[in-house]
Amino acid sequence: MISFQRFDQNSFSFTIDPNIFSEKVITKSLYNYANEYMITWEKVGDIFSIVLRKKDGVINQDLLKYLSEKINQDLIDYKTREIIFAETKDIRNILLIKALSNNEDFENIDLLKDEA
Amino acid sequence: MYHLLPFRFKRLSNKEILVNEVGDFLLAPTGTARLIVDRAIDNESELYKDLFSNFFISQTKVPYLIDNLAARYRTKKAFLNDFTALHIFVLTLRCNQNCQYCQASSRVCEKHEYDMTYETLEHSISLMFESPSPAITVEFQGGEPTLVPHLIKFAIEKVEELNSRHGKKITYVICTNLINLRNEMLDTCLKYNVLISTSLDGPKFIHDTNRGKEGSYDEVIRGIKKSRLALGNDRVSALMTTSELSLNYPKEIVDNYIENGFSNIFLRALNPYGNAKENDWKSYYERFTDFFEQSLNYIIELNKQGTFIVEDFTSIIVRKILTPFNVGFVDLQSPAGIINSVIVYNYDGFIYASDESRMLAEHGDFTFRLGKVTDTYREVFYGDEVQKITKVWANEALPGCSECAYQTYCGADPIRNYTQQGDMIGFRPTSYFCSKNMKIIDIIFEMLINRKEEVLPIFKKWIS
Ligand code: SF4
Repeated sequence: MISFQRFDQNSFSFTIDPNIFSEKVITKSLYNYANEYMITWEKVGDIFSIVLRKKDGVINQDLLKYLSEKINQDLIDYKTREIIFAETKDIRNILLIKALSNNEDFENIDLLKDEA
Repeated sequence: MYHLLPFRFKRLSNKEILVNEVGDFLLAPTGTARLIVDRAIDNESELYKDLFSNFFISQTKVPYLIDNLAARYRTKKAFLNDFTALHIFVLTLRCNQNCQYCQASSRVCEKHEYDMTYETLEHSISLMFESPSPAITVEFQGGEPTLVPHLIKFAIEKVEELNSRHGKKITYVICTNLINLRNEMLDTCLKYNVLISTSLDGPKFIHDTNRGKEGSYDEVIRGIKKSRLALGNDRVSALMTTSELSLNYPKEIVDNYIENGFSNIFLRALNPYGNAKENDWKSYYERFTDFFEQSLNYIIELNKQGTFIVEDFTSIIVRKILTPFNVGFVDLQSPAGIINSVIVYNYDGFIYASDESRMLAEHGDFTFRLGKVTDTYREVFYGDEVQKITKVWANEALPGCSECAYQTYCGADPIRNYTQQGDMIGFRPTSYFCSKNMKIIDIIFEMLINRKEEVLPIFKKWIS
């Protein structure tokens, strides 16, 4: 669980070890917050330090609690998605080639022969 | 130990919705996606069998039935096979109504410089016949196309003449407000089996306010009756547009459609084009999704009580969720419906990617002007403008959409992104296209999760 620290009344910060959540996962997790929050991000040593500043209004205690839970969950979910993507990239490519190619040669390749 | 196949997921109503690459879904307990990835699904469990049989996991690196899965994928994308099928002819910008939300940027009745010339029409028809699609829909739009009946007649006769060589399956549609529907027009419709698509916004006070003309409702209803009598009930359809005023009357609008003999209604939101640009779109779209939910609940209630009435947008989404078929609806396609499925020949001889993009042009923005009717098919359909659009017209590759669980049910709309947000890629957190579709698909899934016994038989009836 990433712990959040209040910066001032309309911003908070947290740090993330990129060995736990990759830059891609962090970017994707924060994408949906970019409308309401100004996001700044820097690398301090080996650690990412991220600040979210609310563009409009203040962050009260309830909102901070909500965001803390939500962002933590988003990070885990996007990490799961990253794993699915990495593990299924090749099979998706094969699927698309087979589905969309007009070349029947692709349909007859025995993709399972190495696994026998 | 099993292998993963591509799938996406999201949380809703204390469940996790898992959707695979061809749009099959599973409703599972929250946290299931993580368990799948961690290889923590017991291979004796029902869930394991479901995941396996629905192509979420595989016992081999490449599933034995990959060809079946590829065939399913091909079916879902079958709209790409034939390329552009819907050809819209904007015969005139002139109109005899004054709609508040006019999306067609219409001009007053007398200005004939806003009519298409015969020459432009002939060139457009010739280009249309170069489309590889074996089935073509010729749709006449405006302004109000019945103000130029001679052009409709000329176009149909020209298409018939050329089609004796091409042998395509042609469907004609006239989009008309029915105010000016003369008997000669109906004769042409009858002779060539033309479909009438009109606009009906609900009860008289809503329709007349939206149209900016007292008596408009009575004329439309008269026109609907007259055309049904001449052509048959199934040849006349109506579309409603949800104005700010309409948002307060979900039940009244549905009731009005039933009273007027319709068994379907398409709850359409305003598009951010035309004179309606000044609206506060954010609040409009929030209210629209509430309106949609209230109307849909009412429609389901009516169906339960024995009145058969379909909400068309829900029916499209449900068909995408529950069936393996390709659903040809241009607004929800990836790659986008523009160009792939629809093209617009404007009265002035220019060609646009869609109806919306020529409306942009009416406001001075020619970004989606693809060429002229005198250009070659190759120059228009494979030209530089089209090449630019193709880079951003698949939601599989758009930020926010690429990981969205609803990707296969939704679509890409570069023109909408451009109109609302200034670039064709768009920014999903503030996109109305996204928020509307996401919310409506949520509503449908919430129904499938929490009220399955009640709604599923109705949904199945709608799509059968
Ligand atoms: S537009 Fe929104 S709902 Fe549609 S696929 Fe993209 S992220 Fe999902």
